[in-house]
Amino acid sequence: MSRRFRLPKDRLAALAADWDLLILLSYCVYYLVNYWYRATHFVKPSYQVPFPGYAYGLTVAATFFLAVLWENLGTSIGWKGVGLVLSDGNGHPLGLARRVGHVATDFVSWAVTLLAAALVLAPPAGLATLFYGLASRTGIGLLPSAPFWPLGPWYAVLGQTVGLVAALSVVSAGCWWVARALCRWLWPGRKGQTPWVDRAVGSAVCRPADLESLGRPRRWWQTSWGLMTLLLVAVAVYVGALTTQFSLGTLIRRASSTGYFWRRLVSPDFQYFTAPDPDLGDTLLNGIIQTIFMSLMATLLGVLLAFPLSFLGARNMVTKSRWGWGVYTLVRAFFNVGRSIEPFVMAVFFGVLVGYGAFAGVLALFVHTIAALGKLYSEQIESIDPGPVEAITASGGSRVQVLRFGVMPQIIPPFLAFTLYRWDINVRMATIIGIVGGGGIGRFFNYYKNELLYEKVGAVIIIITVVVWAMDYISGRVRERIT
Amino acid sequence: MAEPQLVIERVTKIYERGDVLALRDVSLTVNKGEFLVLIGLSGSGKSTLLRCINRLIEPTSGRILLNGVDVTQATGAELRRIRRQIGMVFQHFNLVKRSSVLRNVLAGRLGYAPPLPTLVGRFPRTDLDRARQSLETVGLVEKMYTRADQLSGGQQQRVGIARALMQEPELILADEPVSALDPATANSVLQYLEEMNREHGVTVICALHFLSLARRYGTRIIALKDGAVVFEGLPREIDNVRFKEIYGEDAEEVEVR
Repeated sequence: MSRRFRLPKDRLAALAADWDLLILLSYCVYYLVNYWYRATHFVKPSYQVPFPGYAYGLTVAATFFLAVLWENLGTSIGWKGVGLVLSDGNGHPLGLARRVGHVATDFVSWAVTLLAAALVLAPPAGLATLFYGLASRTGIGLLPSAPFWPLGPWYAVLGQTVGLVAALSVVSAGCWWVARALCRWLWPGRKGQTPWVDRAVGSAVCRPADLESLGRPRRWWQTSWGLMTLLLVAVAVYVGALTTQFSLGTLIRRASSTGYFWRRLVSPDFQYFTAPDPDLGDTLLNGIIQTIFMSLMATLLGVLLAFPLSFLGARNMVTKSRWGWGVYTLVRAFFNVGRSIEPFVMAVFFGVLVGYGAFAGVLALFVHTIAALGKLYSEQIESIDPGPVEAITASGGSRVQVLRFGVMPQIIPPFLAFTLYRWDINVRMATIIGIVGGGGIGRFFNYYKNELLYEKVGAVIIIITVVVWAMDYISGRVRERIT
Repeated sequence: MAEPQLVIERVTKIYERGDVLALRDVSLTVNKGEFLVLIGLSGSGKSTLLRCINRLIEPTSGRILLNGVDVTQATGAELRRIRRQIGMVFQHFNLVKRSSVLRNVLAGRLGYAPPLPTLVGRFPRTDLDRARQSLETVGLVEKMYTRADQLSGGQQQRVGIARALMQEPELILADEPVSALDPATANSVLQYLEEMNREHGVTVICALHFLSLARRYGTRIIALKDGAVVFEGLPREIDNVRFKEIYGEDAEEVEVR
């Protein structure tokens, strides 16, 4: 146990989180530098502060290095989020001084490793330089005379770079391994300690629950994760305001000069509610009815597919074999990807496929509904009481009978509630999916808005609001009764 | 003496997750008509042993013979045929809470009923009569159409027993059937099991927490500790010394009547 890297999955997840945050932060810094430069110098609005290609690599490497050092403090956001603590190996949290020592030791260890790698690589590199130098001066040698590096066309440069990095990595790893062996010999480890820094400092990585005493609790502003979070939020709000061109001044200035728009909007024109609009060839009433039926079709079709799929996407329903796991992962991935593609985007795809109109809208909502409902369903299946399943298995029921008598009675009422909820959301989406060519009332909205017919836009908004509110109210009341 | 009804031979169970040795080399035989009580601390392996008998849990090694048939080798339809002979009563009743009492009781008949009609919820007439009979046995006929979660704990456990009766079992496994009940209800529930045992000759293997209940109902007692059998004998043989062996030095016996 003492020889194993403890909690590897969690520590990698924590490192990834910390690294990501630092990369995000460095992007914000670049954005701000760019912004300030443009604000203080007379340059074109499209001017970008130069950011050469190698700077990307440098940023990635530097942030990784910083993340590793931050992790060694034991109070990084990643560690906090994943639930790891740095203990002294005896069930007590590591004190601040020793935490800093931990970071310093790690810094030294990295420096030593890189230095050792450089030392190992120096003689061959020197020899090579000498060889190339001689060859280029005298014209004798195996290779044609050329500057040392980079040599030749892009693929040669690529090969040389890869070779250099690979050599550095291999030698570094070797040095690291030797140093680790040395550390093991110098400081025989205790349980839960990772080789390397932990052995030197006498610390160990563990869970908060493994600690015997938690020590004096620190307030959030006394920890590095707390301060870092504060910094990130502050920078995010500032950069966010800049990127979204957030401006209260504009809001106030413009608001006072748009009176005509509001006046027209609040005097809605229901002329085409029952009489067909000659330009669109249909009435508003038909539009909203089409919208409601679009949502109904999408929901019903979605349920037909989501229901069987949700069983395959529930961990307690698939077999524990490799196949079962594969199917589960695939279905879950489909649910997650399907939900993250907005119906509006899909409406555009389906518009190309079947022609813009209500059918494209239905298909878009349908695909989204499968994923969204499937996810909700399968989570419901995962949270059922396993007792009845056990009881029916014990009484000799087959798998199908277990599903029918142990699982189904438990999930049907919540499934109905979810379905109603989904229909409610689909009505909401169907009202505006016409804006991207999905048919229904949204088509009217889009047309009137573009033609600047604000009285008619007002009428459409009122119809949408009434229908959405009514659906929301009804589905809410029915769901209350079911669950 | 005839051949024993149930033979457990050197059964070991290791839970892969967490490397827990739940049962170590447990061997025992159970004769027809016995009321065998399993005692032991929480985590001593009582539930695991019971669930190995009807293969709700796969034993890691060892053999279990029911009427000479190897349960551990059975698969598919044969396993289901074995399971339907073994009734099971659970600590938390394991009823479908939203379904009616009748549906819950009928679920016990699934191993016998024709599979296709049951999928649309249809059971043969005879099964419906049988459900009424077993609800009469536990005194709950008038609650037939009530939802299971409307009943009290004792009533729910009686529904659980009625469900086990639907299987016409020759063996009933009871996993701490009264741990979630108050003492008075506990006795009444155990009396139903005793009635099955005495009048219908059904073998009962019952895990219990309270020694007083074990003494009162058991014809034989087996004690487990850390997954191994540490005592096997008649109820009256458990004296104070034995008790401390099973439950540890600090234990005090609690009387439940």
